[in-house]
Amino acid sequence: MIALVDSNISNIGSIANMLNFLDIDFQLVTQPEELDNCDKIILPGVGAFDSVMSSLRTSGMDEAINEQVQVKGKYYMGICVGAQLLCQSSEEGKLPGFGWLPLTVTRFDAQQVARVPHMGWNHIEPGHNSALLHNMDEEYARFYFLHSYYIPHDDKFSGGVTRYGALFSAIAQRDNYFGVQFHPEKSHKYGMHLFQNFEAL
Amino acid sequence: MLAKRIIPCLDVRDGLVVKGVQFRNHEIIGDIVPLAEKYAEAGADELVFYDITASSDQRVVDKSWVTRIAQVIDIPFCVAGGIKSLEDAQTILEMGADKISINSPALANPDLITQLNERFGKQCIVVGIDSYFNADSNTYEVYQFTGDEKRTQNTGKQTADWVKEVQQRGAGEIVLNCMNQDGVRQGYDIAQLSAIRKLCSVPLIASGGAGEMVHFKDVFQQADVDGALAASVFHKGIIAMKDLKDYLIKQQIEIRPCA
Repeated sequence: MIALVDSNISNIGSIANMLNFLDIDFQLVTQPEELDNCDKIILPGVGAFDSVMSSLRTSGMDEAINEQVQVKGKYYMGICVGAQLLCQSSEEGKLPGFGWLPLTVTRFDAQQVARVPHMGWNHIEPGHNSALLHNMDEEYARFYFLHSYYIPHDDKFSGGVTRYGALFSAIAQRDNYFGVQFHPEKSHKYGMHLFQNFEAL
Repeated sequence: MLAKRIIPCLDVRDGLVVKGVQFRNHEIIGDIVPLAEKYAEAGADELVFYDITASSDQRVVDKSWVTRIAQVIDIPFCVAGGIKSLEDAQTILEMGADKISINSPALANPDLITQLNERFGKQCIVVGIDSYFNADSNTYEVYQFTGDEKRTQNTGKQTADWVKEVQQRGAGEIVLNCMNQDGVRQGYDIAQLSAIRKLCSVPLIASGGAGEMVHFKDVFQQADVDGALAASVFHKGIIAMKDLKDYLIKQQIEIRPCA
């Protein structure tokens, strides 16, 4: 069973709708102890880095998730800001992230890209290696992005890269944790496929 | 590459999708949810729902259809109409909309844009602008209350000035409704959109005038907009989504293919 973490400031309804549609077993979770019943964790996040992190701190979820992922080895998928929390810090905020990846979330440089935020459907460049993209048709797969900050590309921690001015990790990953910068719950059939791949891990 | 977006717009009145010509004489197209579902399946990149009566007659509108839409479609959608406060916006976002779009209320209270930005972030704040080319003065002017012809009025603002102001206040996207072209299917207002594009550092969506597939090609290639919004060509079956996307891909425009 997947724990879908409700940090109070995310658009959790659309993810729940998609998981329901796919018949994927999940539980909405707000308290740390509820994570014990689950073998995987999804953390959605929209809004500012600090507001997501401080919400997790208030409920004690930050430490609980860290323990479940780092000590118990459960699979984790962060979405959007939930993906950025894998990093040590963000140019957007003052609070630290989980710090599982030695990276700093960076703002798109308005000198380099025509428009910020990066908003709309983009693809992941060929040659990706993420298990989340297993059996997807590279030519057709597109995902819906909506963000002003990104996880810098680093070969060691990247499961798929996208270029928007900068090259960034559309999927950051290491061991048992993943961060997807886009919104699979808004990415139609390819988003569904990704959730199914996560469930199958 | 980031794909250009094709965005069917569903004008909603009393819970039904309607379409008028130059904002008037609305005819009923159908129920909201099945239409939304149909477009998402057909390959639309995003949907916009405009409650066209809400701003002009000042009533509280039943928005329960937003929840129903969120339950059936898995592409982004935006809700516009009658959002006058932070609380209104929060309600719509909680019902599952990805973005909210404001138009007349932003003109009445520009600070609303600032407040929405601070509370929700710019990524979900869209500002709609109804712009009319005044041939006498040779200028583009902003109109408000365009959902109701009896109350439609010139705001006295120049479109270019308003475009700059809404960005400074934190709009994350601008939808420019070119009123002279709306519903007449003679093509998007390339001249105006190109002029506004130069002033616009957030995504710009063209609205008003789509009639043929070539109009989409022109607006993407000549005005460099991020998305093109259209209603009647889709509702009336004049253009099929797949045909349009296949055509635009052949024209070397970056488009998300219909799978």
